[in-house]
Amino acid sequence: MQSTAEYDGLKKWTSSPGPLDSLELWQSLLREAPSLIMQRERIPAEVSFKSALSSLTDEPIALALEFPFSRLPACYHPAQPMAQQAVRNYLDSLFAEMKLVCDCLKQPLTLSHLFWLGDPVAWLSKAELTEVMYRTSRCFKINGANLSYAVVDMEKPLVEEGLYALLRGLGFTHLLLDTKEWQLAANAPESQMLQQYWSHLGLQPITTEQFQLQGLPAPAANDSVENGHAGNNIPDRMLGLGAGAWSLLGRHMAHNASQLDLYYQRIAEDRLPVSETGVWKK
Amino acid sequence: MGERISISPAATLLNPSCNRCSLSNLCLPLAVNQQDMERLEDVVQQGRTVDKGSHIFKQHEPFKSCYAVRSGAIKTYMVSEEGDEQITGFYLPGEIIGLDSMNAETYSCCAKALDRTSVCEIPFDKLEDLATRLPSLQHHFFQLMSKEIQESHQLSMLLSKNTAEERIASLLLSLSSRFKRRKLSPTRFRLPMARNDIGNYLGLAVETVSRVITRFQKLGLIDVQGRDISLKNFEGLQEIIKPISRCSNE
Repeated sequence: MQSTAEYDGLKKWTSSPGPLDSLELWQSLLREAPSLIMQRERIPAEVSFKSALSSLTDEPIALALEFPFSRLPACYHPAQPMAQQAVRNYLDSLFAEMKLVCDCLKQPLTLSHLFWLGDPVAWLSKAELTEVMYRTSRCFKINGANLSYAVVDMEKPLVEEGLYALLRGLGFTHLLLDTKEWQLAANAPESQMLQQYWSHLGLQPITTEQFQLQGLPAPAANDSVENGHAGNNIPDRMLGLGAGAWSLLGRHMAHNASQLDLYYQRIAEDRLPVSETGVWKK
Repeated sequence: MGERISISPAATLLNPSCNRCSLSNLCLPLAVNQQDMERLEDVVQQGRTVDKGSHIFKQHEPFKSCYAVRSGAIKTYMVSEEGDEQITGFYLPGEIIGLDSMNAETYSCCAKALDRTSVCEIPFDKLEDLATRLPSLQHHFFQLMSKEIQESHQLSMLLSKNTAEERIASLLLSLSSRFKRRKLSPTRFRLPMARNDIGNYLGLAVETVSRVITRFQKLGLIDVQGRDISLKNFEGLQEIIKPISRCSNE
């Protein structure tokens, strides 16, 4: 007997400005109704998801990587070695998951949209940021012509100019600014720094509708995730990687284990860390 | 047109070794302990010489190796469809070229020796394999990549909005810090490139380069004898660069 589960993702998005996760992201991009109902399937989740992956044709796909560091107890004190090791452990597992997913595909898929969620710039070193993009490019086809929209979620302005240069060099086109930390004075150095990269190198800020960005020129009217502005032609194939990540492949949904222990355990067993799959219905 | 690098045993330095290399504290050995040095040396093909004007690799050729500069200097440049050359970087001993092509199947630019140059070839598939087994090497590898990517785009920013004086001051200070890293004088050095190459790199006419250098000399900021440069007023040069547009000089 099938069971159903209701996920009110978009309500969370509008009521509390917490970090954006992949479910909220996909819902916003698809402009779907706030609720969605997932009918669980009878076959095991991992089998179902593998089947969905292996049937994907070489059409462009959107990819979201989840970096849940702000929710990890080991990361409560970011400067501590324990936090740094926790970050490293997570990255190693994320890369292993990436490889497991790609081993299920008939051929490397072309990325048209890329999203990094969970404010990774605050947690990862420049070398680690570079490594994540490098490993992604080894599993998926990324090239400038196809990757029209690469977004990194940032909760605070950067104080180091070099990081903007690195983000642009890694291929990011947009910065998702989704907290009130971005309420800046117009002449604040952080504001001026971002504006220079925005106007000269095309690293463009986009916002949520929850607050008006101060201290920066207003983004264009359609530059918000809620407006579905993720460039054009967001594909209906959206892959989420990381603990708790969601994937929407047509009408097929998959949800990774949210508990880190279970996520790590599945990866260590060379298994996809998907905990539930279903068919997405409005 | 220069010839591509050729691998000639006669040109190989006598018993080169990463362990004994004077640049080991800058290059890949920095990230490798003594026990693993032999594994690194099995991967790196040391001490291949390249004549002035010869290519180490060319744009669109299949990517297979990065190269560490052991002596001399190298410039990298891209060639447009119209045949115009745009210099993208200068590389000194201890620095690695080809890192920006690692994600691609072909080299994104050409690399040409500015002088008689010695390089160490690092086959990428072997380096990647070794890096998976040596985490410190893997981390260093990505540090080098991130630095390369960052500086490339900081240069783009510099070129997009800064004056000729700011661009040339940035270049001189960048060279100074790179010579300092090699334990050489940061205030007296020889420019490894000609002025027309400087102009191409910074998006300036060669006459503008000469004019600015002469102006810096008159202001007492630098002293110039051919390609030999003395930085007389380091702080004065730094004042020219606004904080927000300062390139990475570490």
